Amino acid sequence: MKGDITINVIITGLFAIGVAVFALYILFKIFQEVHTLNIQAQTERDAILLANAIVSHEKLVYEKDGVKYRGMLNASKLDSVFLKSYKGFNDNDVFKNVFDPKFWITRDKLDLSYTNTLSLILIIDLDDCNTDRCIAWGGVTVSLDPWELVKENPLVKFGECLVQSFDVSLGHLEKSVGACAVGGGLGAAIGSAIPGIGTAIGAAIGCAVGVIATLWTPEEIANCISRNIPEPIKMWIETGNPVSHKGIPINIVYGDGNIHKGRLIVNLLELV
Amino acid sequence: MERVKKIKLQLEVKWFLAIFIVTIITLLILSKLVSVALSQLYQVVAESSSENVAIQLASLMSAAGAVTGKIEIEYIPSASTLYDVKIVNKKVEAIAKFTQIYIQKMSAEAKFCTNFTEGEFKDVNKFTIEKREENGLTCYIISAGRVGNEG
Repeated sequence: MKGDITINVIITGLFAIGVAVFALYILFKIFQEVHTLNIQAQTERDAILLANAIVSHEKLVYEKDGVKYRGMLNASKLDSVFLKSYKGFNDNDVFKNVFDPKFWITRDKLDLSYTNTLSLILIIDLDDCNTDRCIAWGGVTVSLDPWELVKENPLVKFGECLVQSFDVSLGHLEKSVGACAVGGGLGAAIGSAIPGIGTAIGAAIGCAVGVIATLWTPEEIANCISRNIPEPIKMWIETGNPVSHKGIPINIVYGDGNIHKGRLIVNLLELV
Repeated sequence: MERVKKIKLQLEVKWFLAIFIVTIITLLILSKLVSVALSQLYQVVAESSSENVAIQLASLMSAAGAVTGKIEIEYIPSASTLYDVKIVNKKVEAIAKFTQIYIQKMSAEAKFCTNFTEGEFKDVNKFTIEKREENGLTCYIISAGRVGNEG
């Protein structure tokens, strides 16, 4: 009879579902492969590129007879661009100053920086660095775009993420009302006991705390934090090491012609 | 009457099985072909995507700073895809204009650390990145053009 569910219909239906699932599986598999192709440690890459640009910069490199020597930094030029410390960066006062916006390296001194990224540049003279004395230079370059800084700020994005994951279901509403009632009751009890607050204000505060506490689940909040935490910080948490913490080898040429081995370390903190 | 019904049912089962087997074999062949075609398509899209071009271009612009003298780098991301590229505020913004209508045109941006002048290029697929010295000052220049585009 027309409309009857026969074995044929069931098998054909199951078969169609199988084909659809298989097609989806293939699509997802390919998408995953493509995505993997594009995953890169962007900050690490940026730090290495900046370090390489620094060791070639005309305002820092050693120059003789019109030839600029890449990777050989002139100590006097370093003195004029960076803050110098004789105790490495155990010298807290100098190290603190490196981060002070007053001492940030201006564009006329060194024009290498990424937009809305704090680039911490440290140079250490390895041949003159021991427990008593350690020659080091440090500085921060930055170029800020205030509009992007506000628009793309991790805190703003975190807020957007929370709004997007806000649950408007009836079940959630019931949970919020329950939390408001419980919080309100507790707040009223506490408010009545504390002079100057009163039952009504205590209940209102308690209800608000109850509602806020049930707005998002801990998983939703953790997800929003994980999605919006800047990549270098994430890397720092995951690996225990800041980006490019080992640095690249350099030579430091002093006025008397002495050449010391050194290390240039670049750490980036992307603000957005 | 019963016998006729039985034969009819047997025939139906045979036909069903035959069609089922042929369909399965065809689907297996097709799935292999489709997956190969899709892999190739996605590979092309990934290589010439806005994201990839923005990252490559920004990296090359930063890398230009790594030489002490002059350098000229030529970059052709794709001979068949054109791009709109904007250099603004030490960032490269790229949009790949794929001719295939089923590929979404998404923009992507990447940062660079050197001092290139701001500019905008439309419908280009060849980039020349230069670092040179003029009157003792270092200049970073990017120019763009078009090469071998059929579309």
